[in-house]
Amino acid sequence: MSLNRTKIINYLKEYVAKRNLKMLLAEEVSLPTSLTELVDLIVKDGNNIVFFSVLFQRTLSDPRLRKLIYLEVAKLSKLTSYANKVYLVVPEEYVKPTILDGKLLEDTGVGLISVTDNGVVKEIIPAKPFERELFPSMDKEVKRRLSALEERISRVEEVINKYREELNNVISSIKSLADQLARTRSEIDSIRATISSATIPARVETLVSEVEEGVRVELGEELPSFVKDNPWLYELSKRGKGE
Amino acid sequence: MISIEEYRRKYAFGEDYGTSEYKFGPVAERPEIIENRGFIIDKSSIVYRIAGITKNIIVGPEVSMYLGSREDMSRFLVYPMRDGIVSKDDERAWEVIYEITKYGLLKFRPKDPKFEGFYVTAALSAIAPKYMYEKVFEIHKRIDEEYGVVKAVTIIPQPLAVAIAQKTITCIVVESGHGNTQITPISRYPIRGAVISLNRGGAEANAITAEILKDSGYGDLVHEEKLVRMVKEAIGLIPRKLDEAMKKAREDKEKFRAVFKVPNTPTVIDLGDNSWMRFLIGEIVFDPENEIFESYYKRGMPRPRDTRLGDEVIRGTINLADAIIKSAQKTPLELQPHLYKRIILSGGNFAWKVPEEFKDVAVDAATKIKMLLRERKIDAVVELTRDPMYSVWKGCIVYSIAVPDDYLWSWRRMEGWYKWR
Repeated sequence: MSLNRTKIINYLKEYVAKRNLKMLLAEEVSLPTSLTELVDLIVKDGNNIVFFSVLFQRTLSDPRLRKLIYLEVAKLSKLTSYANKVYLVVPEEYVKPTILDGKLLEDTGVGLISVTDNGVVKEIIPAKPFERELFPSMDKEVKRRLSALEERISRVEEVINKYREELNNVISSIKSLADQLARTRSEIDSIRATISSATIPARVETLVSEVEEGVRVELGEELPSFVKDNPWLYELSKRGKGE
Repeated sequence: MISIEEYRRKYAFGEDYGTSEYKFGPVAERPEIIENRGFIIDKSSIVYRIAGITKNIIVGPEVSMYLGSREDMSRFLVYPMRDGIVSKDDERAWEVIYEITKYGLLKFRPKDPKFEGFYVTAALSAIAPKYMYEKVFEIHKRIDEEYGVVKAVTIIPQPLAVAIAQKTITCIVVESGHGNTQITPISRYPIRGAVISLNRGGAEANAITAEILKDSGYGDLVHEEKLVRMVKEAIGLIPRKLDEAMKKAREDKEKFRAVFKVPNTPTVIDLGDNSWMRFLIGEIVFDPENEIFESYYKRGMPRPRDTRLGDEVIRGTINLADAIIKSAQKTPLELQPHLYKRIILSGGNFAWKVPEEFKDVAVDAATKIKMLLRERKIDAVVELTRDPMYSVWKGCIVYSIAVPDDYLWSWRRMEGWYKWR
């Protein structure tokens, strides 16, 4: 029984199923459309996202296959932002030094899996784990939150505008009250002037004279205790006299 | 017999520019007091827009209505003086001084048609530089030009005002506040060449209190300056003799145990076996040079900076009695015994309590100075001001009443009335 691309993928699916790994769709990992054709199988291994890319070209010579694998590995290196591990899957017969360059795979971190004609899947070179960018997978969630935030901000802006309007009303009311107060003050002043120029009855005259008497008494009050008998009064009063 | 003209009696005015308070007013038993600070109005604030405030700076009791967050306080609340000094180029501080001066004078502006302005005597720190005199004159002139409330103004050093209030013509006034201590011999005039200003005051007692709290396991509390000050005032004692006081306190730990409950909190500070340290708090004010403080200086407690008297450098840690003697020695030999007959202590850093049960080992500030001088073979009469809060202002009032109207300001004498009309 000879291998083909579909068989390899099926064997691979059996292999991951045996290991209880969950298969995912390209959409679930937010893989850009331009890169989806590079990936034949996506699985979730714990928290890790693992991509498998199958290469199958039976009719080519070894040097051409070697070149093709070079190109394939170069393309797969683009996937490292979206997966924690990336595997190149090839028929077992490709696993020979004339086709594969182990150092290339080691340098790029891309792992190698071989599949035999009878469906035995073997991990030849383990893939190096990559730091997957979280952003692509969070993109939708972030967008959802951003739009919710935008909505809330616009509601807050509406409330602020409402308060600003109310505050302006308060300011204008206060200004009008201040104007009224100024007018009232000037009226009081004019009333005061009228009263003071009016004739004062005899009874009021008596009261005023009593008050003035009181003021005179206050003026004649003793000086505070710290002034009385203070030798500095004499000392300071001589300042400038002897010069 | 002195006759005080009626106008002067009515319109003498005193102004005491203290670091934290401004005391002002015409002849009376007591002055008005406001805090020496101003709140700079943030013109972008809503309050400013809706309340139609026209002033840039708020002073007096109104300030408290403008205080908002802590951030506001640090941004907009300006305390213009630091240890009695206003920086020359600190325009905001000088605007605050202008506002508080205007506030005081206008508060007492009479309606009397015969009023031609107050005779104002302002008191500044003894170490106030000449530019402060110039600025204060300028401020009064400006206020008079705007409101017609100043007929003449003069400035006297605060220690002279204290001597006047104490009715003492010849004396040494030692004024000790939070940040510095000024020793001013006075004989009819302040003897300016003998004034010593030490860079230490209540702050040093606060610093040692903080160290003691750290040593006793209360290091987390020392960042609260107010709390440290409260602890100092509650447990600090001036020792009659430090060694004896410490010995007694170590022998009878329970009697001398220093416990302080922070008001309105469950926190209780108990110095326990370290209670003998309460005597260090009082001692440092008088003798920060005592070797017991060396270990604290080595551990990072700030050592008071040295100061200069003419060509001589005076150590910041000098024993206070030695500093008084040095100051007196700058005066004529004949005068010195008269000066020692009256040493007047004023300022908050000399206000120490002596609880009845500790009278055998603790003393008040006047007794301590007297004892220190006696150890140096000088018999002195030392007293605390009778009225520490108002004595400077009282001296200003007497000065305003007594100095003749025609005795004009002289920059050489630094005395007389400064007039412009």
